[in-house]
Amino acid sequence: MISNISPSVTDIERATQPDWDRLGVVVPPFSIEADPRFMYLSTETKRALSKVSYMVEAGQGASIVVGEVGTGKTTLASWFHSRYDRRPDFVAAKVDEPPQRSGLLLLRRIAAEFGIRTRRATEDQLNEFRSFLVQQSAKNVLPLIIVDEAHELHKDQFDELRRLINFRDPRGGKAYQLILLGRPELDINLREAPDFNDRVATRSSLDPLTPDDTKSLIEYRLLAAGRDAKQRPLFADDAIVPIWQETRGYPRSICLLCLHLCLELLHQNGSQINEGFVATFLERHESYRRLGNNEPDASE
Amino acid sequence: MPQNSNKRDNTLAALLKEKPKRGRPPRQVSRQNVYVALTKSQRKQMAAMAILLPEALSRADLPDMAVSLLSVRMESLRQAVSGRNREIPEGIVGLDSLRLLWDVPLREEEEATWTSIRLSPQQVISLGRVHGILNALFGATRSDVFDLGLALLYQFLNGEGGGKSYQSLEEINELMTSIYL
Repeated sequence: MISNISPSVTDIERATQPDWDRLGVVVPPFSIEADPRFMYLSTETKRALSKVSYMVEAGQGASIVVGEVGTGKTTLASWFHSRYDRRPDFVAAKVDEPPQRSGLLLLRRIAAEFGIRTRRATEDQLNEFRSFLVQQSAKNVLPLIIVDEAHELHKDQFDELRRLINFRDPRGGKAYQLILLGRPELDINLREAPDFNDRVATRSSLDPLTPDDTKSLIEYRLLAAGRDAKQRPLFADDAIVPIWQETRGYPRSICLLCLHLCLELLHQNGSQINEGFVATFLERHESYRRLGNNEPDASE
Repeated sequence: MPQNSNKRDNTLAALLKEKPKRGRPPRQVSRQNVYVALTKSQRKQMAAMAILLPEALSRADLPDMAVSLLSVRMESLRQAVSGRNREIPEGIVGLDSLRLLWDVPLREEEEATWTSIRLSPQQVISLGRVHGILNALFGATRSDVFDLGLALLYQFLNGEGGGKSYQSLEEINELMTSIYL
């Protein structure tokens, strides 16, 4: 029975799967998932990477990265996690979304990510963290904590994080390193936690892209997805400005619009996306435009 | 009597008279030529920096100062990652990243012409060392490296190092070390 059903399901999947080969790519180029392989390094991203990684490796404590929805914070968080976790001199824990309010819950979540025993009392949990730090320091390994959506952190949670980064291994002076990524509200929330705010070593912000960066992002994504750079450009130069105007330079919105444009191109059996193609697409697909306008309110 | 003032000195007196020296000032250790490509805006920047220098130093000292400062900044970077088996932090992915880390403006494409700068022997070695590291990591040329040094020096003279009355290159090197190391 199953063997009878399977081919038809595969056929349906095949029919609904876009034929990316026709665009000269081997994987979908405009996925909106936070995939570090597709991370385009704009000037702002490079600035954040340089400053934050310097502070982390110099053992300076906490670093902050703020940016609006869709500016690439989660991709950056994944990049930091994947790069540092595979280095022998670092152990990284990433919290994608902090638990509500409770400082202990946050500590327990971080502990679980590090593989530390979780405890029911805050002091016990902090002692576990202290032992872990000493143990890692003996191996010359620096623990790194990455918290995404850090604008959701509560004042009590900032206090616990402050206590955590205050730990020093008495023998080596090593401490936990911390990277917080969140929306601009994070800066406002930090004002309510002045003790923690004082320990922030660097602040970076991820701004929307310029038209030039938008073009570079599109080209980079296509290249990373396997398109040959010698081929005729898939996106004509005159298509960039309308894409940038529509998306206001937010990387996730750019990827979403480019994904829809590619699907439309495949549907129409076309070969290039130009200004007219983008304009026609936006006129015909009002629903897409509404989706795009609503997007900044959605959670990342 | 005005005729007396027009009277010319005899040859011996003219030779013995103190005259402003021409050419390169004498130095205890002679400087060496190093070839780099400089753009017009870099030359203008050097002229602007020369004005900021105290009387004891001149435009000819700028290349030495730029290389010293770059070496000190690179050493501080190396110290930050010491014990991590790396020369440079993970997230620094190019010369632009270094510029962004140190808050100096990004380089703009501009036509450059080859010229020689004169460096003290120690600075020639230091420039070679920094060039070696940055070339291995990011394929940076010697001109790129010197340009980075100039940009850092401009920032230094307009910031922490500005308005100080240092009397020699040694004093300014000490100041750079005390600030960044």
